[in-house]
Amino acid sequence: MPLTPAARLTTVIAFNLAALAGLIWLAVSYAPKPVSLPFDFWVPLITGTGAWLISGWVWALRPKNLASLLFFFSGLSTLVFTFAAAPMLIFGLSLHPTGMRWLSYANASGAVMFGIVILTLFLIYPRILPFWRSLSLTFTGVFLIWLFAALNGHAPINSSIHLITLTEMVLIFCAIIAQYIVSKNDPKSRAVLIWLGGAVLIGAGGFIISVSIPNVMGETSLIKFQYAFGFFLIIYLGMAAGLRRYRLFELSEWAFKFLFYLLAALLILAADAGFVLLFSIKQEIALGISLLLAVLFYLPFRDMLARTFLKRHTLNNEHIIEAVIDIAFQPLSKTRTERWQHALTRLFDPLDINEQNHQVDQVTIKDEGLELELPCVGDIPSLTLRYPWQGRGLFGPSQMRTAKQLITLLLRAESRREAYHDGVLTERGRIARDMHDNIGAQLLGALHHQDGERKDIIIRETLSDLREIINGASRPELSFDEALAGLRLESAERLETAHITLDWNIIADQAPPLTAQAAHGLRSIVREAISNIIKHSQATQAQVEIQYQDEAVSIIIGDNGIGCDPTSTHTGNGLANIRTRITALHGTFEFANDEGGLKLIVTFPLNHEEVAS
Amino acid sequence: MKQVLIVEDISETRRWLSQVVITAFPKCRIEEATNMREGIGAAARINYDLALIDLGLPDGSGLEVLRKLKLTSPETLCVITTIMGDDTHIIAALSAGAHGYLLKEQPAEIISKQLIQLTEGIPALSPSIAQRIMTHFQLTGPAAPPEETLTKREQEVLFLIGRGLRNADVAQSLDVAETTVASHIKAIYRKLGISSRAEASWHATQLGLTGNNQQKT
Repeated sequence: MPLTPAARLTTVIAFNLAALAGLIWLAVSYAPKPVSLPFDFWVPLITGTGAWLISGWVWALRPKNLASLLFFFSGLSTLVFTFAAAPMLIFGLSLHPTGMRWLSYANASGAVMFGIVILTLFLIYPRILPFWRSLSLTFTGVFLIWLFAALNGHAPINSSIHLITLTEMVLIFCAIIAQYIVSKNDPKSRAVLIWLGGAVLIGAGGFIISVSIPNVMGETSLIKFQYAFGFFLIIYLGMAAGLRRYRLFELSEWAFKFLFYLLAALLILAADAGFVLLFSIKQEIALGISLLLAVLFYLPFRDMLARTFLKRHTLNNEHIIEAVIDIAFQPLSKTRTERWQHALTRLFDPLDINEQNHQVDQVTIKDEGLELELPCVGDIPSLTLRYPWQGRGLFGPSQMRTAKQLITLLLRAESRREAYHDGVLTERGRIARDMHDNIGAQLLGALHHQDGERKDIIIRETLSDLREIINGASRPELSFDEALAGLRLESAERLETAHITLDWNIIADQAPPLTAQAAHGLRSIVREAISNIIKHSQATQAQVEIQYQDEAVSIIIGDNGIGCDPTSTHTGNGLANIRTRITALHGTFEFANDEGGLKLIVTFPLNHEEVAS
Repeated sequence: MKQVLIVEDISETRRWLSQVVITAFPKCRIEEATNMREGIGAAARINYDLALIDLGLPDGSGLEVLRKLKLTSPETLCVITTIMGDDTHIIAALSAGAHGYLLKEQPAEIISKQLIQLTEGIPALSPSIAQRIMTHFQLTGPAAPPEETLTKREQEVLFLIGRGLRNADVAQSLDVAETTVASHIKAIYRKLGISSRAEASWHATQLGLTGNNQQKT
């Protein structure tokens, strides 16, 4: 059963409290009455507790990492040698000899173990040194044998232990130098090394110089033995202080957040215990009153604290969908990423969210539930979430399912948004092309036209074409009849002013919608032909017939006028315009003089592809 | 026609429109407004016989001027003049009680003719507007009360106008008098106003609003 970081740290704290309670109980029962525990007694206890709790905190968050595990063992060693030293210091020789011996064994082992562990730590952290395994094994073996020999009386116990720790210190110093050399091109590791190595050299080194060296030389300690323990606290406080800046053991400020919330939770528990204790001791307070106090003051206060510090956000489906839509429809990929992280924070409340550089294929739980890896979603990079619910929970199958659902939803929403976006772009492109090809060309023609009246006509036609584009843009699937209704009305009115009647006929039941280009070309051709009829034909009747057959459009425009020679020059610009239009539509045209009038027949293919696009 | 109001922001067009109006009604007095505020102010002062209102004004919509006129002098003949003829805006104006609309790019003589026709009670309806109005009534559906739905004849008129037929052509193909077609168009305008108002008030009820003089825009 994997433990949450909160459970691990709680265990560490509980163990510490138990050890403290045991020692204090021991001291109180053995000390001469009246009991007074001197400051000398507390210094080692505070040092041990500090080292143990800080290293336990690192271990709670990084249980699998070898460096943080070693750091944790160093804390354990400190706890052992300080707690063993405390009773020896205050009771001295008044202790039972066996007890005294075991305490000094524990103290010596703890001190030597501390050296071994720290030495190994600097063999692998911040950089892994070559041959670290064999080096570590050799040193561990040698020091353990030496310790065993010293403890079994083959060497004077006190001075040999100091000699061992001094030797260890020298080796630690060498390891730090080696780390310094190795991390030459790695400024991050070097910064970590300077901070942590510095803390160890000052902390452990301070103790060695003030206590071990004088003892090895047969002198007395420079400062009181028990106060020198305080040096060790420097290592752990230094580590905690540098944690955020140097990301020691890959921890950051969220490690403090974790600590804060966990302590808040423990304080609430302590308050509960205190409340129960208070009312069981003060029996003179009636049960009714204490219940009343509990209901009126304590429980609401406790509830408020719990809600502030221990709340677990839950998102219902509505919130999730809202969040997904919110993310998917953010225009910028940066804000999408931010919103995504925000939603995940609301959902899982992790201590740490990091963007992942390597490829993540699917939602995976790592590190026994400490970590959840999420693949990238569209242009949102893949993420690693660590320590859910501020370190008070683990990622499990249900969280994995939720994350998967969320990603599926988000992918779906994103693809819809992209489809919509593409549609908008296509439509915008179509309108722009229309404007350029038709409106732009017509206005240019008007600009360069010499004849003022003709200029007016072109501009008028351009305006009505513009209206067609604007109104047609929202209704792309009009029938021929509907799309050409404006042209019909315009033609009829123009012909009427010349006293010519119009016979208009469209046969295009099965036709697909006209493309913008085809509609525009068709309008231009009919307009020019009508102009020609008005100007030259002297007709009284005109016919326009538009047909759709065999994927092609044909326009037949005829009149009952005098007809003319289509090759003669006076058809002028009009015919040239018609020719240009027909070329653009990949069509053909022919003239026929029949029954006196002139007939123009234009045929062009209707491109379905363009309609579809 | 004695008093005419022209609300138009482009000065050349305003001058040109004045000329057109003078041609159509030589004895009238013309007042010009260049934006929505001036238009509303003018509407509050005088009861006009005819008002030509541009929809896209620099400080707001001509619809506001139209609404003000409908309030202060319901007898005024309100005509929307527009360049782009964005159909939805024209339909909104017709729903709000405009008697007709003119497309400003047309030649002066045609505009002038249409103006005279409008004052004689013959409204004009362009094919694309007719198509839009048809869609509008299809959407309101058969469940609407009869005073808000079109008769079969009115539907036929709309259909033919939507295919590009002029009033005279419609009259001919339906075998009725041209004045009958005109009265059908007026009926369609009126029903458009009613059904839009009904629709707006229905929406308002759905939203829990009580204002029943809301207009569709």
